[in-house]
Amino acid sequence: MPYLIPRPHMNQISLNNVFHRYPGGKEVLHNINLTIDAGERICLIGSSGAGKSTLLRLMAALEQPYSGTVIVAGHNTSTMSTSELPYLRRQCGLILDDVKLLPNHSVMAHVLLPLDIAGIDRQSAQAQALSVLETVGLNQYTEHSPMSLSGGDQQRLRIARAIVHQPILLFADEPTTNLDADDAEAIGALFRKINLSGTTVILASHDRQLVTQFKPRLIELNHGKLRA
Amino acid sequence: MKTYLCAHWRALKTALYRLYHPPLMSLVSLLMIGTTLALPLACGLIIHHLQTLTNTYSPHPQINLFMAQDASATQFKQIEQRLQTHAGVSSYRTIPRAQALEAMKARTGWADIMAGLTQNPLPDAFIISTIDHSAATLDALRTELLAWPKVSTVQVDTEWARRLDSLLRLGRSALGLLAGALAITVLAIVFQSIQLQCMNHRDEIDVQGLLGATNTFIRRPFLYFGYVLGLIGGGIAWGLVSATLIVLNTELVQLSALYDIPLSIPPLPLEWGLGLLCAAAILGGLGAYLSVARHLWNTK
Repeated sequence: MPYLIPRPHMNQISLNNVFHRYPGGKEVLHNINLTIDAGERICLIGSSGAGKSTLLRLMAALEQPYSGTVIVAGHNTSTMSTSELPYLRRQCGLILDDVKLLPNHSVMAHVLLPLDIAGIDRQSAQAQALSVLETVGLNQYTEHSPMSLSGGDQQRLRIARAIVHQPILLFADEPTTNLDADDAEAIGALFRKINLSGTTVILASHDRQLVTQFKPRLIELNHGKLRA
Repeated sequence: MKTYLCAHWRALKTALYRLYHPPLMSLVSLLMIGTTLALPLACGLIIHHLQTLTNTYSPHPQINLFMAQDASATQFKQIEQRLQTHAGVSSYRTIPRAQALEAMKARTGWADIMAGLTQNPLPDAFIISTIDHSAATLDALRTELLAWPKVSTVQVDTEWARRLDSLLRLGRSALGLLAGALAITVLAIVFQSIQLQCMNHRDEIDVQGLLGATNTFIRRPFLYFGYVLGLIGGGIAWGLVSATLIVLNTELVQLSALYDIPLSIPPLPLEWGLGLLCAAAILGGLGAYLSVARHLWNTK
């Protein structure tokens, strides 16, 4: 079994001379060189179309760069085999539009899913899931459908699902979009709490309130290039 | 180990849940699988039963040797002497033409016809039993006997059984082809059912993949779904064939009374039924595996 063991590293993510373009499209990222250390909190900022989401997806190993290397947790995402990829994914938490909420699964089932995938026994998994739901404030909705939750609660559920297996990296793309100010503030506080537990948190956002509250290292993109 | 078994138990529960949600889709698939499997099963059972009947009711092969009309008593004796010393003959019985005529007269309805005859039209005859009952030996002996002087006709009286046996062999070959074709049909039905399942649970599959699920993890509930679909489909086929046999046997009771042969078809043997369930489950699992593999490949 190709279980992925994190290799000793200081730099959790390293991008070297990364260029990216979509088939038939224009260049989205241009010569990106970047390192992110363990435990950092990062916010990718920039105008719409600057390449924030694409850079986040490259770092989360959801896509491979057109050229250059992306090293995540010591593994080159371009050269790793498809059988290794799931084990890298288990070290990451994803809060992206791709990772949808499933209407016919309960809140509890959502949070249990990453633990089932990781092969955690059901008793420990349930205890862990309840603890995380309590952390995000959803412990009273365990049997509810996610569709019956408010937008803020749905985002909390996405966060709970992303952190329940204690990932070393957490990626979130525009996590406070469509949330009111109070919910956005609560989500920001949650990310800070997660980061304090040792998880490297990488956000892509243009929410100034979140940036101010989260106090991250800012990485600014402008037309696919890192702004010095 | 316990965690591993729990994961399988959860996959099985998921498969059973999906079987009933939505129920109509699964029911249609199950009926299609059941009827598809029932056809070769019923044919196989009937051919097997006919084979048993043939073996039971076909007597040991015997050869009927008829002398020419103009054969003399001396020539009849010579043939009898030859048969006595022949290595391939185990026993024989003589039927002189006069005895044959008397026997014919004794039969109801024949006396008047026989009384009108000016001379005996029947030849002297021998009924011969052989040591070796194989078709090749019987054919060789038949040819040899025909070459003997004043021998008019030689008949092997198991011709009908051999013809039936040939037909049964042909039937078995056709059944093999039919079973193969219908096995592919079952695969296709399960494949299509699982494709629909994959479409219905596409978001779930995508999310599992993004959360780090291996293909084995994603495939597991679908495999169980295929196994369960095959098993229940096999059960339906078993039930259908058993029910058909009950109806058929009711009719066969009347027919068997006419021919004085027990024609009723026995119920499906347990080992046949269990074999059917295993084969159906394996076909279901294989169809599911291929279907999910295709979906995962397309998704990738």
